[in-house]
Amino acid sequence: MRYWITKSGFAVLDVARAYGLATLLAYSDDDGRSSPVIIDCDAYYCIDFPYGKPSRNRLVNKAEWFSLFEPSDAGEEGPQWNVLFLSNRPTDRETKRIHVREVLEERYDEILHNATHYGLMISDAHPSETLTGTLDPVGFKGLRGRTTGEYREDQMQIDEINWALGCLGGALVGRFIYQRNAGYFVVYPCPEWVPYGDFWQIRRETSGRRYSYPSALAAAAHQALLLASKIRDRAASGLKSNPRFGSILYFAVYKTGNQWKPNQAGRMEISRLLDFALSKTHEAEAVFRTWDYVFRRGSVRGKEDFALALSEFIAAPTLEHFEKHVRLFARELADKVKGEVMYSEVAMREVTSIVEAG
Amino acid sequence: MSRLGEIYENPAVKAFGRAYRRAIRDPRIQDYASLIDLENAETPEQLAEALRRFLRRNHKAAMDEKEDWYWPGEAHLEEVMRLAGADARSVRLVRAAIESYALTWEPGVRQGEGGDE
Repeated sequence: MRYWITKSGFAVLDVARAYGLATLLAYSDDDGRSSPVIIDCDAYYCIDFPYGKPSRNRLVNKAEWFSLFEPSDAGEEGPQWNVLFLSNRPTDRETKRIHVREVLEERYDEILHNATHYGLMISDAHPSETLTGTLDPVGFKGLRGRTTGEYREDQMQIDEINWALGCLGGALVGRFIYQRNAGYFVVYPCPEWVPYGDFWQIRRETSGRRYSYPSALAAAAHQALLLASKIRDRAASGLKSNPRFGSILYFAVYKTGNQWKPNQAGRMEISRLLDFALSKTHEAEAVFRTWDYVFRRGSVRGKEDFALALSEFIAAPTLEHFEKHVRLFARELADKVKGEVMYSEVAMREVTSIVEAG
Repeated sequence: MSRLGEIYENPAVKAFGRAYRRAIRDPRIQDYASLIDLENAETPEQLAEALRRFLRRNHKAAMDEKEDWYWPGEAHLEEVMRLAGADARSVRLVRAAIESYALTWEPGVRQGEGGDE
């Protein structure tokens, strides 16, 4: 069976809804042996679940399902409910978390029916839930319209089904990276072809590996590197099923007085990086080792430019960005850089070969 | 392969890259002035001048018998200038290729004393 999520144009929310629906299907599967696959189909996300037999009974009798909505003690590996509802009062967070579960359980059949026949579409007929800003930065006030003259804007509201799916996907898939004095950098990997089970395995293996980042772009670039590195490892070990991600969505939220506000945001294309990881596994290992060193070194105060230059190069491998990266690296050379973290000749050849002309 | 990748493979570019790496990593030399000259070269003439100045600055250290530098010769300089003279963007590409080769690590090759040999 195939299930469809119609994209709304709110990129982060759409990705979260797709992961949310895949989670719902995976947890309600009678069989439990197959895994839904999330596929990006231009205007839709398709959740392909050919051998799955999802049922509501299975869902509501499954202990793991309820544990998804417990306050997380699993760190980054578990659902990030508290950070997702960061802009809400602490007392409201639990209410919202429970409401997400109730909506998904009570309207389960309607969700699957609509997703199968029409494609789940965000409806403005019955908007009832406020889109939280940490789920998609468009949810923050002051971004959607002009506020000149009257400095106020209403909250953005969406229907409760898509809200609940988005919250479930956001809590599970969004990576909220806390930075002292900078709030949170939020990173979402956009699926192109992603088996749900493989995604979780990669996520578990890459959780907790983080540095101090000078910007949201650097956080996204390092997460892209971790993702590519893990996919490379899978390919090198002979695993046939390798998830494909097209891009990484990122944004930052920071606190202004009592309120959280969005900061930098963007989309980083990573398909070329993943192509490189899959097609040249040996060379990619050497390149990724050096790049990880650059991010580690760039997490030290005073060395932020080092990480930023590489982030720009990963996001857009132009000659300008490459020159900036090598110049900053050259200045590190006298500073006791160990040979093992420098580029090998072969690794640098591969890096120069991906620099775009233009 | 990109144009930069092709230039990177040129032996003359590699010879200059090695020499720059040695000049930067050797704590007695740390010739960042030559690196800045190279970075600021925007025309073929400026590039040639930057490379010649680099060779002059480090000639003594390179010719010292105790040092085993990979020293670029006149033929290497001519080859690099031939690559740089192809079109307006070539200087940037040659510059980037030399700088990138200077960042590489070749096990077994003496590369200065800045890190582990």
